[in-house]
Amino acid sequence: MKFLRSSLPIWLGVLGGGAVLLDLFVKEPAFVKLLSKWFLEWRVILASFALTLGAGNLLRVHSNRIRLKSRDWGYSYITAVAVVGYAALGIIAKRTNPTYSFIFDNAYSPLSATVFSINAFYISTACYRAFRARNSHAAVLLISGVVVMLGSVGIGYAIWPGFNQLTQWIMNFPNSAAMRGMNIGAALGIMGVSLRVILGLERGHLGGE
Amino acid sequence: MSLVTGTVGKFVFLLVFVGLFWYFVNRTASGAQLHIRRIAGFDALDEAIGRCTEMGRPVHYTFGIGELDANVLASFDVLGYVAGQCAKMDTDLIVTNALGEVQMMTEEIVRAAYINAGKADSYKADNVRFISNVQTAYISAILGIFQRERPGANLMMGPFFAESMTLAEAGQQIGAIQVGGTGRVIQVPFFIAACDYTLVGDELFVAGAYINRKPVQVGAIYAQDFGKWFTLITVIAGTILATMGNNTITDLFKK
Repeated sequence: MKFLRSSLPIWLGVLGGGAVLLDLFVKEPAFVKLLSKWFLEWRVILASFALTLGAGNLLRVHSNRIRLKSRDWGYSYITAVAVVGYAALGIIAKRTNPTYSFIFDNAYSPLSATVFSINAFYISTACYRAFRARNSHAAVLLISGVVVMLGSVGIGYAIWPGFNQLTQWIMNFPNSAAMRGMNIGAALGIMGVSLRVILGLERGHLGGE
Repeated sequence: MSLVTGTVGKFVFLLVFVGLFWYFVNRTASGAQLHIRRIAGFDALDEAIGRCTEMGRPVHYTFGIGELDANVLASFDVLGYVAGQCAKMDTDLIVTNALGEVQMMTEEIVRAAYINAGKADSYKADNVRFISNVQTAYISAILGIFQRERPGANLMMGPFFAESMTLAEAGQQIGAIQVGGTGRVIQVPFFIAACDYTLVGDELFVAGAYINRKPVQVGAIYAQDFGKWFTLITVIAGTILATMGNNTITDLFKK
């Protein structure tokens, strides 16, 4: 049991990670490419199966709520009916069915667009808080933020044509330098974590030791 | 064995990194004490959980919508710690997921943390929830959880996309203490704007070393830091040499 829960995942990580990494660098031997391709294909297959398990978790959580009549159980009822009903429709009547498309176009798409559009309001409220000049750092953020905003819209150019050039300078130099610094740091961090997995030293994903 | 064209420089860098990695891992394994600077985002985890305990509100933890990558693996270390602390303090922990494969691992990590804390009976399987791998569905479900269950802390660590702004701002509006961390640098400004604490750039990837202080992980962090120095020196040397008309370093990364 310990082998299946602990040792096997580690060795699969070592083998799979090692093969995919090596495949990036070497032209041959051919079996490295085959092994890498094989692991990448299996990743897609396993992710698909895991999605089914995820859907099972979703239905279990909501059916428990309905069964126990927990608070706001009505929402769980709607969720469960929507998941089971729409999946059944897709499987039985196929995705080309007009009813399937009608529900997607007239229920899912507008709801999805509505949720995404909330982002505009959240960005505004977050900017309002972030742009309060409480200290020198926040003041720099406020000034550069206002300059970039004015440099990105027509009214900024009407006020002072230099806003465009100033915006480009901020984006091309201080902004790019900071972003590239963080990207290099993050890339090295990703390398560190990946190497720990490939060398079998990372065990956090196995649920403790 | 021949190398793919254009990868020689990267391969050399990888070998240097692996060498540094082994050196520092062995050093820490043989008992050398290496220092890691304080990271406010991790120190705030106990404060956030303690606040939830006092208020009788749950802790919410999520990974974002991105795929199972190094961000998620690093985040697992944080989740294990948070779950253990929640178990000790009898505070509810709600974990939301967008990926099936992450869901399975998450269940295992949270369950193991409760067992290790001697609170196996307190583990609530229904609190580790798969939401959806569709971004808007994932966002709306978490917004609903925020409104209905009012978590006192919102911890967001993993590969975030546009949901970072929405979730962080919604968490801020319900008064949750928030810690955000992602290796996706483009999302960091959103966390900085809306969260109380943010793990910037590679800070998320030191989670295991910082929280657990395991020698292997501490050694890896030192290797990363030396990797940064190596990169910095290469960039500066490459820039100076290229300015003087010598493209040795530039050409090495093109081979």
